[in-house]
Amino acid sequence: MFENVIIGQYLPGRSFLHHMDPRAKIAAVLFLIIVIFLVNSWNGYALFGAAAIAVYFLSGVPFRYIRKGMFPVFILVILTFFLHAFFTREGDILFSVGVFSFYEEGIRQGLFISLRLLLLVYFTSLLTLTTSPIDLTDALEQMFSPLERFKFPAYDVAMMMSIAIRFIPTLLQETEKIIKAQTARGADFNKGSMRDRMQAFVSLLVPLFVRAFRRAEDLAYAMEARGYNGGEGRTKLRLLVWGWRDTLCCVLIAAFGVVLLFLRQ
Amino acid sequence: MAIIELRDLEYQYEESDEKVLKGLNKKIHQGEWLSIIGANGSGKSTLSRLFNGLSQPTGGSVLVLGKKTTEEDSLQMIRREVGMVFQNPEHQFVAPTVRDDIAFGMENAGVPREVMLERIDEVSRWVNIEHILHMEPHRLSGGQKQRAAIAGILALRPQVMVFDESTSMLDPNGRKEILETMNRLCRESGLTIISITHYLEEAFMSDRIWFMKAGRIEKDVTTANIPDQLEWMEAEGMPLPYKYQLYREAKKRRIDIRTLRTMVEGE
Repeated sequence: MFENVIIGQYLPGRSFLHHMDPRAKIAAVLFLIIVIFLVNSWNGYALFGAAAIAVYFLSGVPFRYIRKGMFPVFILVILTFFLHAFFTREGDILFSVGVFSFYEEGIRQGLFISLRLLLLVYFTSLLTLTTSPIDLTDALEQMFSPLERFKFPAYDVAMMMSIAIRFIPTLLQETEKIIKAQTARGADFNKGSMRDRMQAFVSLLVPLFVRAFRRAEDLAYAMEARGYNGGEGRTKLRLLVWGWRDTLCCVLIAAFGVVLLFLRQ
Repeated sequence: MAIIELRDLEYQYEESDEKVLKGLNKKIHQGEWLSIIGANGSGKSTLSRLFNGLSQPTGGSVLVLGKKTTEEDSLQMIRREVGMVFQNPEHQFVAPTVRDDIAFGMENAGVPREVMLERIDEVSRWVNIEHILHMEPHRLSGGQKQRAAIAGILALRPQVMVFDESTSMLDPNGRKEILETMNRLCRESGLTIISITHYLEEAFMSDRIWFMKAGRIEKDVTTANIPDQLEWMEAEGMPLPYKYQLYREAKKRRIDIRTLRTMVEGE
């Protein structure tokens, strides 16, 4: 069902992007997300497109993978484009189809917003495709750690995220088992009225939640038995190492941002 | 030397009117392998959680290396010294890969990274999981997950390991792997093993057996002479391992073992 969604999936590899420090990648993507919304010229988007192609070659991710992953986003992009094209009524009328007139500004806005969406999903996908979930949580923990001074529980949040990520495949396996067990006893999740389907869905959710709570209790015992006591005094096996790639990336991204700001209309 | 001592130990769940453990007084000695058997609800698993302070007694005390589990200052030391392997191999896996999971306890104990790396190497070789260190838990078999859990505890260099029905959810191969590991831990490394189990063939591998019934230790016997113990075990409704069933039946019918062999193998 979700095999076409690439955001959140990790593809192990040995590319330039795979070897970068996750903190640098997160910072770069956050910066690009902000910059995407500031760009308002064709030249700016052309430069962004060139950057996207360059990053693609640095990622080592197969093209068919990206194409497959971007496909579901296209529906949203097309919808967004038509919403702007229909409802923005500024500038000259470019052409009319029946009662609908398409304005220059509407088409321009539609294309800009669509491009922003595509680029946003593209860069975020490349971040998760080239960074393992545990590296992402480690990076977020370190990035949020200055907030611990203001009582923000950075370590606990990272631990929660890491456990949530670790249990996703387990919960999916469990869901599949429950579906099979319920199907064997006559439940049908794909047929019948909306009401029937909702009822069948409840019979899936209840055991799933019960098992999840039992699992949470067992896990809490297992963590406590191994001396888990929050983040205080804890050491770490995984170290994040900032290298030349990361510094280079930050410098290039900053320069890229400055150029894009100059290209603003 | 007693490594764990139970003194008038009692335990009662908040929501219950009855005590689950009723005045236990026992000692567990260093380097021995103790099995705790008994029916469901006899108090075995509750007792296992008291060994490393996961639950606190409601009466009496548990002493680990002379320190009470109720002493807040000693609790971290006690949890390092008394490791626990739980029943469900899936539910005790905290980290996203085997390597990270082995490191979890050491990270909590503040072990320096270099030492962690050495110990991960050492314990993964010991339990034979070097080849799966990079793997995620959902790709492992039950036996591999339990061995990873054992490695995670061994890395903390404990003196005691408690196995709470740790083989009950495994297939025969997984079970065999864990039993072999337990045997090596006790016989080669000198660790004290406490094994909570329903399987008598597992209990017979140990040095001593506690039989629990309704919150009391009804029997405390050594496994030096198993045939002497079979009668009460059978009377308590415990399914004997096949070879002992055969032995009991042959004895009851006064069939000579050699005759039995002839009956099975033919003339």
